[in-house]
Amino acid sequence: MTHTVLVVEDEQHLRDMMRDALELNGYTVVTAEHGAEALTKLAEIEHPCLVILDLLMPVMDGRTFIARMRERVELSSVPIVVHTSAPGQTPDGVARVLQKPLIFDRLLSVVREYCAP
Amino acid sequence: MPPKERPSRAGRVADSEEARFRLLVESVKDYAIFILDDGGHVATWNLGAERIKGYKADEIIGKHFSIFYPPEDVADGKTERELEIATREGRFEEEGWRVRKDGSRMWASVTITTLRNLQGDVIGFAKVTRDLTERRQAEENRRALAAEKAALAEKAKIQQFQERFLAILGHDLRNPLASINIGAGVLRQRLTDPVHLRIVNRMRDSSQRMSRMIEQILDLTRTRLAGGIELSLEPFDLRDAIRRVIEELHVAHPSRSVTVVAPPLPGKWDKVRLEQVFSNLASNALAYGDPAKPVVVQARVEGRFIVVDVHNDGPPIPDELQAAIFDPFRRGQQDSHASKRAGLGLGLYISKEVTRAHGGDITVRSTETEGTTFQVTLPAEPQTSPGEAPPR
Repeated sequence: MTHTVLVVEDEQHLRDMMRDALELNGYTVVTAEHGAEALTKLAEIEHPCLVILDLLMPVMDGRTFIARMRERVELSSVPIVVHTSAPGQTPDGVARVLQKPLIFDRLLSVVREYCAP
Repeated sequence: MPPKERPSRAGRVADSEEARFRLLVESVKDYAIFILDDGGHVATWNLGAERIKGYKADEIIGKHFSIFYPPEDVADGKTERELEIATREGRFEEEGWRVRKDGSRMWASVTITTLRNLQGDVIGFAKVTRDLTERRQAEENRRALAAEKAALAEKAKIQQFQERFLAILGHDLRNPLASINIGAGVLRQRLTDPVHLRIVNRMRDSSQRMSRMIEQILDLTRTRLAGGIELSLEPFDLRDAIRRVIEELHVAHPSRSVTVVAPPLPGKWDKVRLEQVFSNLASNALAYGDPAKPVVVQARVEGRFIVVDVHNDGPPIPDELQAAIFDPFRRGQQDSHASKRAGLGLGLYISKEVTRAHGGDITVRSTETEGTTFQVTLPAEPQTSPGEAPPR
Protein backbone atom coordinates (compact mmCIF):
# COMPACT_ATOMS: atom_id res chain seq x y z
CA MET A 1 0.00 0.00 0.00
CA THR A 2 1.14 3.53 -0.76
CA HIS A 3 0.23 6.54 1.31
CA THR A 4 -0.70 9.40 -1.01
CA VAL A 5 -4.34 10.37 -0.92
CA LEU A 6 -5.89 12.69 -3.51
CA VAL A 7 -8.65 14.84 -2.02
CA VAL A 8 -10.95 16.48 -4.60
CA GLU A 9 -13.27 18.99 -2.97
CA ASP A 10 -14.40 22.44 -4.06
CA GLU A 11 -15.01 23.88 -0.61
CA GLN A 12 -11.72 25.20 0.66
CA HIS A 13 -12.29 24.83 4.41
CA LEU A 14 -13.32 21.22 4.10
CA ARG A 15 -10.48 20.49 1.66
CA ASP A 16 -7.90 22.03 4.01
CA MET A 17 -9.40 20.31 7.04
CA MET A 18 -9.25 16.91 5.33
CA ARG A 19 -5.65 17.52 4.31
CA ASP A 20 -4.61 18.52 7.85
CA ALA A 21 -6.49 15.63 9.44
CA LEU A 22 -4.96 13.03 7.13
CA GLU A 23 -1.45 14.51 7.21
CA LEU A 24 -1.53 14.51 11.02
CA ASN A 25 -2.37 10.83 10.75
CA GLY A 26 0.71 10.13 8.65
CA TYR A 27 -0.62 10.26 5.09
CA THR A 28 0.61 12.35 2.18
CA VAL A 29 -2.23 14.41 0.80
CA VAL A 30 -2.59 16.11 -2.56
CA THR A 31 -5.64 18.34 -2.98
CA ALA A 32 -7.59 19.57 -5.97
CA GLU A 33 -10.45 22.01 -6.26
CA HIS A 34 -12.29 20.24 -9.07
CA GLY A 35 -12.08 17.31 -11.45
CA ALA A 36 -9.92 19.04 -14.04
CA GLU A 37 -7.29 20.05 -11.47
CA ALA A 38 -7.45 16.55 -10.02
CA LEU A 39 -6.60 15.01 -13.41
CA THR A 40 -3.52 17.26 -13.67
CA LYS A 41 -2.44 16.48 -10.11
CA LEU A 42 -2.95 12.75 -10.63
CA ALA A 43 -0.26 12.78 -13.31
CA GLU A 44 2.21 14.09 -10.70
CA ILE A 45 1.44 11.48 -8.03
CA GLU A 46 3.46 8.31 -8.30
CA HIS A 47 1.08 5.78 -6.77
CA PRO A 48 -2.06 7.27 -5.28
CA CYS A 49 -3.68 4.85 -2.83
CA LEU A 50 -7.07 6.52 -2.85
CA VAL A 51 -9.10 9.36 -4.35
CA ILE A 52 -11.67 11.01 -2.06
CA LEU A 53 -14.11 12.77 -4.33
CA ASP A 54 -16.94 15.24 -4.02
CA LEU A 55 -19.49 14.88 -6.83
CA LEU A 56 -20.87 18.42 -7.15
CA MET A 57 -18.04 20.68 -8.21
CA PRO A 58 -17.56 23.53 -10.67
CA VAL A 59 -15.37 23.27 -13.81
CA MET A 60 -15.43 19.46 -13.86
CA ASP A 61 -17.79 17.51 -11.63
CA GLY A 62 -17.08 14.19 -9.96
CA ARG A 63 -18.87 12.06 -12.54
CA THR A 64 -16.87 13.44 -15.45
CA PHE A 65 -13.69 13.09 -13.44
CA ILE A 66 -14.42 9.40 -12.78
CA ALA A 67 -15.05 8.76 -16.47
CA ARG A 68 -11.82 10.55 -17.52
CA MET A 69 -9.76 8.84 -14.82
CA ARG A 70 -11.05 5.41 -15.84
CA GLU A 71 -9.87 6.08 -19.39
CA ARG A 72 -6.29 6.11 -18.12
CA VAL A 73 -5.19 2.50 -17.80
CA GLU A 74 -2.45 3.20 -15.27
CA LEU A 75 -5.08 4.66 -12.90
CA SER A 76 -7.74 2.02 -13.41
CA SER A 77 -6.98 0.24 -10.16
CA VAL A 78 -6.94 3.35 -7.93
CA PRO A 79 -9.99 3.17 -5.66
CA ILE A 80 -12.36 6.14 -5.53
CA VAL A 81 -14.40 6.98 -2.47
CA VAL A 82 -17.24 9.38 -3.10
CA HIS A 83 -18.95 11.53 -0.51
CA THR A 84 -22.36 12.71 -1.56
CA SER A 85 -25.70 13.94 -0.28
CA ALA A 86 -27.59 11.67 -2.69
CA PRO A 87 -26.24 8.14 -2.17
CA GLY A 88 -28.89 6.74 -4.52
CA GLN A 89 -27.36 8.47 -7.54
CA THR A 90 -23.78 7.28 -7.25
CA PRO A 91 -21.90 6.61 -10.48
CA ASP A 92 -20.54 3.14 -11.23
CA GLY A 93 -16.98 2.17 -10.51
CA VAL A 94 -16.54 3.70 -7.06
CA ALA A 95 -15.19 1.65 -4.18
CA ARG A 96 -17.26 3.26 -1.46
CA VAL A 97 -19.94 5.89 -0.96
CA LEU A 98 -19.93 8.03 2.16
CA GLN A 99 -23.01 10.02 3.08
CA LYS A 100 -22.49 13.74 3.62
CA PRO A 101 -21.51 15.18 6.02
CA LEU A 102 -18.21 13.36 6.23
CA ILE A 103 -17.31 12.52 9.79
CA PHE A 104 -13.79 12.13 11.04
CA ASP A 105 -14.00 8.51 12.21
CA ARG A 106 -15.45 7.34 8.90
CA LEU A 107 -12.94 9.33 6.88
CA LEU A 108 -10.01 7.89 8.81
CA SER A 109 -11.29 4.32 8.72
CA VAL A 110 -11.84 4.38 4.97
CA VAL A 111 -8.38 5.87 4.35
CA ARG A 112 -6.81 3.25 6.66
CA GLU A 113 -8.51 0.55 4.64
CA TYR A 114 -6.85 1.58 1.37
CA CYS A 115 -3.65 3.38 2.37
CA ALA A 116 -0.59 2.69 4.50
CA PRO A 117 0.38 5.67 6.68
CA MET B 1 -83.70 37.78 -46.81
CA PRO B 2 -81.70 39.10 -49.71
CA PRO B 3 -83.55 41.74 -51.65
CA LYS B 4 -83.27 39.87 -54.93
CA GLU B 5 -85.72 37.26 -53.59
CA ARG B 6 -88.37 39.97 -53.24
CA PRO B 7 -87.97 41.92 -56.44
CA SER B 8 -91.51 43.13 -56.51
CA ARG B 9 -91.27 44.89 -53.14
CA ALA B 10 -87.80 46.25 -53.77
CA GLY B 11 -88.81 47.37 -57.15
CA ARG B 12 -91.77 49.16 -55.68
CA VAL B 13 -90.08 51.08 -52.85
CA ALA B 14 -86.43 51.43 -53.80
CA ASP B 15 -86.99 54.60 -55.73
CA SER B 16 -87.14 56.90 -52.68
CA GLU B 17 -84.10 57.57 -50.45
CA GLU B 18 -85.95 56.44 -47.34
CA ALA B 19 -86.91 53.21 -49.03
CA ARG B 20 -83.33 52.57 -50.11
CA PHE B 21 -82.17 53.12 -46.58
CA ARG B 22 -84.80 50.71 -45.27
CA LEU B 23 -83.63 48.14 -47.78
CA LEU B 24 -80.07 48.57 -46.55
CA VAL B 25 -81.09 48.06 -42.90
CA GLU B 26 -83.24 45.09 -43.72
CA SER B 27 -80.48 43.34 -45.57
CA VAL B 28 -77.68 43.85 -43.00
CA LYS B 29 -76.80 40.38 -41.68
CA ASP B 30 -74.19 41.02 -39.00
CA TYR B 31 -76.22 43.43 -36.89
CA ALA B 32 -79.68 43.08 -35.46
CA ILE B 33 -81.18 46.48 -36.28
CA PHE B 34 -84.78 47.08 -35.28
CA ILE B 35 -87.11 49.67 -33.82
CA LEU B 36 -89.00 49.50 -30.54
CA ASP B 37 -92.11 51.57 -30.01
CA ASP B 38 -92.19 53.98 -27.07
CA GLY B 39 -93.44 51.12 -24.86
CA GLY B 40 -90.52 48.85 -25.79
CA HIS B 41 -92.37 46.58 -28.22
CA VAL B 42 -90.63 45.35 -31.35
CA ALA B 43 -91.87 47.35 -34.36
CA THR B 44 -89.42 46.38 -37.15
CA TRP B 45 -87.08 43.43 -37.72
CA ASN B 46 -84.15 42.90 -40.07
CA LEU B 47 -82.27 39.92 -41.47
CA GLY B 48 -79.46 40.34 -38.93
CA ALA B 49 -81.95 40.27 -36.05
CA GLU B 50 -83.47 37.10 -37.40
CA ARG B 51 -80.06 35.51 -37.79
CA ILE B 52 -78.72 36.64 -34.39
CA LYS B 53 -81.81 36.21 -32.22
CA GLY B 54 -83.52 33.38 -34.07
CA TYR B 55 -87.02 34.91 -34.39
CA LYS B 56 -88.75 35.53 -37.68
CA ALA B 57 -90.39 38.94 -38.12
CA ASP B 58 -93.94 37.64 -37.74
CA GLU B 59 -93.00 35.85 -34.48
CA ILE B 60 -91.51 38.84 -32.78
CA ILE B 61 -93.15 42.04 -34.00
CA GLY B 62 -95.37 43.35 -31.24
CA LYS B 63 -93.53 41.47 -28.45
CA HIS B 64 -91.88 43.38 -25.62
CA PHE B 65 -88.10 43.54 -26.00
CA SER B 66 -87.61 42.02 -22.54
CA ILE B 67 -87.96 38.68 -24.34
CA PHE B 68 -84.29 39.10 -25.38
CA TYR B 69 -83.06 39.36 -21.77
CA PRO B 70 -82.23 36.70 -19.20
CA PRO B 71 -85.14 36.32 -16.73
CA GLU B 72 -83.04 37.54 -13.78
CA ASP B 73 -82.31 40.82 -15.61
CA VAL B 74 -85.99 41.27 -16.42
CA ALA B 75 -86.95 40.61 -12.80
CA ASP B 76 -84.32 43.13 -11.79
CA GLY B 77 -85.95 45.86 -13.93
CA LYS B 78 -83.02 46.11 -16.34
CA THR B 79 -85.13 46.63 -19.46
CA GLU B 80 -87.04 49.57 -17.96
CA ARG B 81 -83.81 51.03 -16.71
CA GLU B 82 -82.21 50.87 -20.15
CA LEU B 83 -85.13 52.71 -21.79
CA GLU B 84 -85.08 55.26 -18.97
CA ILE B 85 -81.39 55.95 -19.52
CA ALA B 86 -81.85 56.09 -23.29
CA THR B 87 -84.75 58.52 -22.86
CA ARG B 88 -82.80 60.70 -20.47
CA GLU B 89 -79.42 60.65 -22.23
CA GLY B 90 -80.37 59.97 -25.82
CA ARG B 91 -78.69 56.60 -25.92
CA PHE B 92 -77.81 53.56 -23.90
CA GLU B 93 -74.85 51.31 -24.61
CA GLU B 94 -73.54 48.12 -23.03
CA GLU B 95 -72.13 44.65 -23.50
CA GLY B 96 -74.14 41.97 -21.73
CA TRP B 97 -75.90 38.65 -21.83
CA ARG B 98 -78.96 38.23 -24.05
CA VAL B 99 -81.15 35.20 -24.79
CA ARG B 100 -81.78 33.72 -28.24
CA LYS B 101 -85.07 32.16 -29.28
CA ASP B 102 -83.72 28.66 -28.57
CA GLY B 103 -82.89 29.74 -25.00
CA SER B 104 -79.11 29.85 -25.56
CA ARG B 105 -77.29 32.89 -24.25
CA MET B 106 -75.10 35.22 -26.24
CA TRP B 107 -72.74 38.00 -25.30
CA ALA B 108 -74.05 41.05 -27.12
CA SER B 109 -72.99 44.60 -27.79
CA VAL B 110 -76.17 46.69 -27.56
CA THR B 111 -76.94 50.30 -28.46
CA ILE B 112 -80.38 51.80 -27.85
CA THR B 113 -80.92 55.21 -29.41
CA THR B 114 -83.99 57.27 -28.59
CA LEU B 115 -86.11 58.40 -31.55
CA ARG B 116 -88.03 61.68 -31.16
CA ASN B 117 -90.43 63.53 -33.44
CA LEU B 118 -90.04 67.15 -34.38
CA GLN B 119 -91.84 68.18 -31.18
CA GLY B 120 -89.30 66.27 -29.13
CA ASP B 121 -91.64 63.51 -28.00
CA VAL B 122 -90.24 59.99 -27.75
CA ILE B 123 -91.69 57.92 -30.52
CA GLY B 124 -89.54 54.85 -30.06
CA PHE B 125 -86.05 53.45 -29.85
CA ALA B 126 -83.62 52.17 -32.43
CA LYS B 127 -81.82 49.09 -31.21
CA VAL B 128 -78.61 47.77 -32.72
CA THR B 129 -77.29 44.51 -31.40
CA ARG B 130 -74.17 42.61 -32.35
CA ASP B 131 -73.39 39.03 -31.27
CA LEU B 132 -69.95 39.02 -29.65
CA THR B 133 -70.16 35.55 -28.11
CA GLU B 134 -67.38 34.17 -30.26
CA ARG B 135 -65.14 37.15 -29.67
CA ARG B 136 -65.76 36.90 -25.92
CA GLN B 137 -65.06 33.17 -26.02
CA ALA B 138 -61.82 33.80 -27.87
CA GLU B 139 -60.86 36.45 -25.32
CA GLU B 140 -61.68 34.11 -22.47
CA ASN B 141 -59.66 31.36 -24.07
CA ARG B 142 -56.77 33.73 -24.53
CA ARG B 143 -57.01 34.83 -20.91
CA ALA B 144 -57.27 31.23 -19.68
CA LEU B 145 -54.26 30.31 -21.79
CA ALA B 146 -52.27 33.21 -20.40
CA ALA B 147 -53.29 32.29 -16.85
CA GLU B 148 -52.31 28.69 -17.45
CA LYS B 149 -48.95 29.80 -18.82
CA ALA B 150 -48.39 32.04 -15.81
CA ALA B 151 -49.33 29.20 -13.45
CA LEU B 152 -46.89 26.87 -15.20
CA ALA B 153 -44.13 29.46 -14.97
CA GLU B 154 -44.90 29.94 -11.28
CA LYS B 155 -44.83 26.19 -10.74
CA ALA B 156 -41.47 25.94 -12.48
CA LYS B 157 -40.20 28.76 -10.28
CA ILE B 158 -41.35 26.99 -7.13
CA GLN B 159 -39.86 23.73 -8.37
CA GLN B 160 -36.57 25.49 -9.00
CA PHE B 161 -36.70 27.04 -5.55
CA GLN B 162 -37.35 23.64 -3.97
CA GLU B 163 -34.47 22.06 -5.81
CA ARG B 164 -32.17 24.88 -4.78
CA PHE B 165 -33.41 24.61 -1.18
CA LEU B 166 -32.80 20.86 -1.10
CA ALA B 167 -29.36 21.35 -2.65
CA ILE B 168 -28.43 23.93 -0.01
CA LEU B 169 -29.59 21.66 2.78
CA GLY B 170 -28.10 18.53 1.33
CA HIS B 171 -24.80 19.86 0.10
CA ASP B 172 -23.89 23.38 1.14
CA LEU B 173 -24.88 23.14 4.82
CA ARG B 174 -23.29 19.75 5.30
CA ASN B 175 -19.80 20.69 4.13
CA PRO B 176 -19.08 23.10 7.01
CA LEU B 177 -20.38 20.44 9.39
CA ALA B 178 -17.93 17.94 7.94
CA SER B 179 -15.19 20.50 8.49
CA ILE B 180 -16.17 20.96 12.14
CA ASN B 181 -16.46 17.24 12.73
CA ILE B 182 -13.13 16.40 11.13
CA GLY B 183 -11.41 19.22 13.01
CA ALA B 184 -12.85 18.06 16.32
CA GLY B 185 -11.88 14.48 15.49
CA VAL B 186 -8.23 15.37 14.87
CA LEU B 187 -8.07 17.42 18.06
CA ARG B 188 -9.60 14.57 20.07
CA GLN B 189 -6.74 12.36 18.92
CA ARG B 190 -4.19 14.79 20.30
CA LEU B 191 -5.70 16.44 23.37
CA THR B 192 -4.89 14.99 26.78
CA ASP B 193 -6.32 17.64 29.10
CA PRO B 194 -9.77 16.28 30.14
CA VAL B 195 -11.37 19.73 30.04
CA HIS B 196 -10.13 20.33 26.48
CA LEU B 197 -11.34 16.88 25.52
CA ARG B 198 -14.77 17.58 26.98
CA ILE B 199 -15.04 20.79 24.98
CA VAL B 200 -13.98 19.12 21.74
CA ASN B 201 -16.38 16.24 22.37
CA ARG B 202 -19.21 18.72 22.76
CA MET B 203 -18.24 20.33 19.45
CA ARG B 204 -18.28 16.95 17.77
CA ASP B 205 -21.62 15.94 19.34
CA SER B 206 -23.18 19.27 18.38
CA SER B 207 -22.05 18.89 14.78
CA GLN B 208 -23.54 15.41 14.68
CA ARG B 209 -26.79 16.57 16.21
CA MET B 210 -27.01 19.39 13.71
CA SER B 211 -26.33 16.98 10.90
CA ARG B 212 -29.24 14.79 12.11
CA MET B 213 -31.46 17.87 12.21
CA ILE B 214 -30.51 18.76 8.63
CA GLU B 215 -31.34 15.18 7.67
CA GLN B 216 -34.77 15.56 9.25
CA ILE B 217 -35.45 18.92 7.63
CA LEU B 218 -34.49 17.36 4.30
CA ASP B 219 -36.95 14.53 4.91
CA LEU B 220 -39.65 16.98 5.92
CA THR B 221 -39.02 18.99 2.77
CA ARG B 222 -39.19 15.84 0.67
CA THR B 223 -42.53 14.82 2.21
CA ARG B 224 -44.07 18.28 2.10
CA LEU B 225 -42.70 19.82 -1.07
CA ALA B 226 -40.87 17.41 -3.24
CA GLY B 227 -43.19 14.51 -3.93
CA GLY B 228 -42.55 12.37 -0.87
CA ILE B 229 -39.85 10.10 0.49
CA GLU B 230 -38.28 7.96 -2.22
CA LEU B 231 -37.74 4.32 -1.35
CA SER B 232 -35.01 2.09 -2.63
CA LEU B 233 -36.29 -1.43 -2.08
CA GLU B 234 -33.99 -4.38 -1.53
CA PRO B 235 -34.51 -7.90 -0.14
CA PHE B 236 -33.44 -8.38 3.49
CA ASP B 237 -34.60 -9.89 6.77
CA LEU B 238 -36.36 -7.24 8.83
CA ARG B 239 -35.68 -9.18 12.03
CA ASP B 240 -31.92 -8.94 11.41
CA ALA B 241 -32.22 -5.22 10.68
CA ILE B 242 -34.19 -4.61 13.89
CA ARG B 243 -31.63 -6.60 15.89
CA ARG B 244 -28.80 -4.54 14.43
CA VAL B 245 -30.56 -1.29 15.32
CA ILE B 246 -31.17 -2.50 18.87
CA GLU B 247 -27.54 -3.55 19.26
CA GLU B 248 -26.38 -0.08 18.24
CA LEU B 249 -28.76 1.51 20.74
CA HIS B 250 -27.52 -0.88 23.41
CA VAL B 251 -24.02 0.53 22.99
CA ALA B 252 -25.37 3.98 23.83
CA HIS B 253 -27.58 2.68 26.69
CA PRO B 254 -25.60 -0.24 28.19
CA SER B 255 -27.66 -0.32 31.39
CA ARG B 256 -30.98 -0.73 29.59
CA SER B 257 -32.54 -3.94 28.45
CA VAL B 258 -34.22 -4.30 25.05
CA THR B 259 -35.86 -7.59 24.05
CA VAL B 260 -36.52 -8.50 20.43
CA VAL B 261 -39.09 -11.24 19.83
CA ALA B 262 -39.57 -11.96 16.12
CA PRO B 263 -39.73 -14.78 13.58
CA PRO B 264 -37.57 -14.45 10.47
CA LEU B 265 -39.09 -11.63 8.39
CA PRO B 266 -37.74 -11.80 4.86
CA GLY B 267 -39.14 -9.18 2.50
CA LYS B 268 -38.36 -6.31 0.22
CA TRP B 269 -38.37 -2.83 1.73
CA ASP B 270 -36.08 0.19 2.06
CA LYS B 271 -33.60 -1.10 4.61
CA VAL B 272 -31.95 2.20 5.55
CA ARG B 273 -35.35 3.87 5.99
CA LEU B 274 -36.83 1.09 8.12
CA GLU B 275 -33.73 1.01 10.30
CA GLN B 276 -34.30 4.74 10.77
CA VAL B 277 -37.93 4.05 11.80
CA PHE B 278 -37.09 1.34 14.36
CA SER B 279 -34.12 3.26 15.69
CA ASN B 280 -36.41 6.25 16.25
CA LEU B 281 -39.16 4.21 17.95
CA ALA B 282 -36.76 2.24 20.14
CA SER B 283 -34.80 5.39 21.14
CA ASN B 284 -38.06 7.05 22.14
CA ALA B 285 -39.06 3.96 24.14
CA LEU B 286 -35.72 4.09 25.94
CA ALA B 287 -35.92 7.83 26.53
CA TYR B 288 -39.50 7.95 27.79
CA GLY B 289 -39.99 4.46 29.24
CA ASP B 290 -39.53 3.19 32.80
CA PRO B 291 -35.75 2.59 33.05
CA ALA B 292 -36.31 -0.37 35.37
CA LYS B 293 -38.37 -2.25 32.78
CA PRO B 294 -37.19 -3.60 29.43
CA VAL B 295 -38.24 -2.17 26.10
CA VAL B 296 -39.86 -4.97 24.08
CA VAL B 297 -39.87 -5.13 20.28
CA GLN B 298 -42.24 -7.86 19.15
CA ALA B 299 -42.96 -8.75 15.53
CA ARG B 300 -45.44 -11.12 13.91
CA VAL B 301 -46.98 -11.85 10.54
CA GLU B 302 -50.70 -11.07 10.22
CA GLY B 303 -52.06 -12.12 6.84
CA ARG B 304 -50.39 -9.96 4.21
CA PHE B 305 -48.90 -7.61 6.78
CA ILE B 306 -46.02 -7.63 9.21
CA VAL B 307 -46.85 -6.05 12.55
CA VAL B 308 -44.10 -4.81 14.86
CA ASP B 309 -44.89 -3.50 18.35
CA VAL B 310 -42.34 -1.31 20.11
CA HIS B 311 -43.38 -1.26 23.73
CA ASN B 312 -42.24 0.49 26.88
CA ASP B 313 -43.67 0.67 30.37
CA GLY B 314 -43.91 3.84 32.38
CA PRO B 315 -46.20 6.87 32.49
CA PRO B 316 -48.56 7.09 29.50
CA ILE B 317 -48.43 9.78 26.83
CA PRO B 318 -51.08 12.40 27.75
CA ASP B 319 -54.19 12.17 25.56
CA GLU B 320 -53.78 15.67 24.10
CA LEU B 321 -50.22 14.84 23.04
CA GLN B 322 -51.24 11.44 21.61
CA ALA B 323 -53.64 13.10 19.21
CA ALA B 324 -50.90 15.14 17.58
CA ILE B 325 -47.91 12.92 18.22
CA PHE B 326 -47.20 12.26 14.52
CA ASP B 327 -47.45 15.94 13.56
CA PRO B 328 -44.24 17.65 12.44
CA PHE B 329 -42.55 19.89 15.04
CA ARG B 330 -44.80 18.16 17.58
CA ARG B 331 -42.24 18.59 20.34
CA GLY B 332 -43.79 21.47 22.23
CA GLN B 333 -44.59 22.84 25.61
CA GLN B 334 -46.58 19.69 26.48
CA ASP B 335 -43.51 17.51 26.11
CA SER B 336 -41.46 17.89 29.27
CA HIS B 337 -38.70 15.68 27.85
CA ALA B 338 -38.30 17.89 24.86
CA SER B 339 -35.78 20.37 26.11
CA LYS B 340 -33.54 17.56 27.34
CA ARG B 341 -33.53 15.81 23.99
CA ALA B 342 -33.02 18.84 21.77
CA GLY B 343 -34.45 17.34 18.59
CA LEU B 344 -36.80 19.00 16.13
CA GLY B 345 -39.83 16.85 16.90
CA LEU B 346 -39.78 15.36 13.42
CA GLY B 347 -38.75 11.76 14.20
CA LEU B 348 -42.24 10.28 14.53
CA TYR B 349 -43.60 12.29 11.64
CA ILE B 350 -40.83 11.05 9.35
CA SER B 351 -41.18 7.48 10.64
CA LYS B 352 -44.86 7.54 9.81
CA GLU B 353 -44.16 8.97 6.35
CA VAL B 354 -41.60 6.23 5.72
CA THR B 355 -44.00 3.43 6.69
CA ARG B 356 -46.77 5.05 4.66
CA ALA B 357 -44.49 5.24 1.64
CA HIS B 358 -44.16 1.45 2.04
CA GLY B 359 -47.96 1.09 2.11
CA GLY B 360 -48.03 0.64 5.90
CA ASP B 361 -48.66 2.82 8.94
CA ILE B 362 -47.73 3.54 12.54
CA THR B 363 -50.25 3.90 15.36
CA VAL B 364 -49.83 4.53 19.07
CA ARG B 365 -51.63 3.16 22.12
CA SER B 366 -50.71 4.48 25.54
CA THR B 367 -52.49 3.90 28.86
CA GLU B 368 -51.62 3.93 32.55
CA THR B 369 -52.00 0.14 32.88
CA GLU B 370 -50.61 -1.07 29.54
CA GLY B 371 -47.77 1.38 29.02
CA THR B 372 -46.97 2.71 25.55
CA THR B 373 -46.92 0.73 22.31
CA PHE B 374 -46.08 2.08 18.86
CA GLN B 375 -47.34 -0.38 16.29
CA VAL B 376 -45.76 -0.50 12.83
CA THR B 377 -47.58 -2.35 10.05
CA LEU B 378 -45.82 -3.07 6.79
CA PRO B 379 -47.01 -5.01 3.76
CA ALA B 380 -45.24 -8.38 3.74
CA GLU B 381 -44.88 -8.12 -0.04
CA PRO B 382 -43.77 -4.93 -1.69
CA GLN B 383 -46.65 -3.02 -3.17
CA THR B 384 -46.62 -1.66 -6.66
CA SER B 385 -49.92 0.17 -6.18
CA PRO B 386 -51.95 1.21 -3.14
CA GLY B 387 -53.36 -2.04 -1.75
CA GLU B 388 -55.67 -2.88 1.10
CA ALA B 389 -55.42 -0.85 4.26
CA PRO B 390 -53.17 -2.22 6.99
CA PRO B 391 -54.96 -3.96 9.88
CA ARG B 392 -56.01 -1.82 12.83
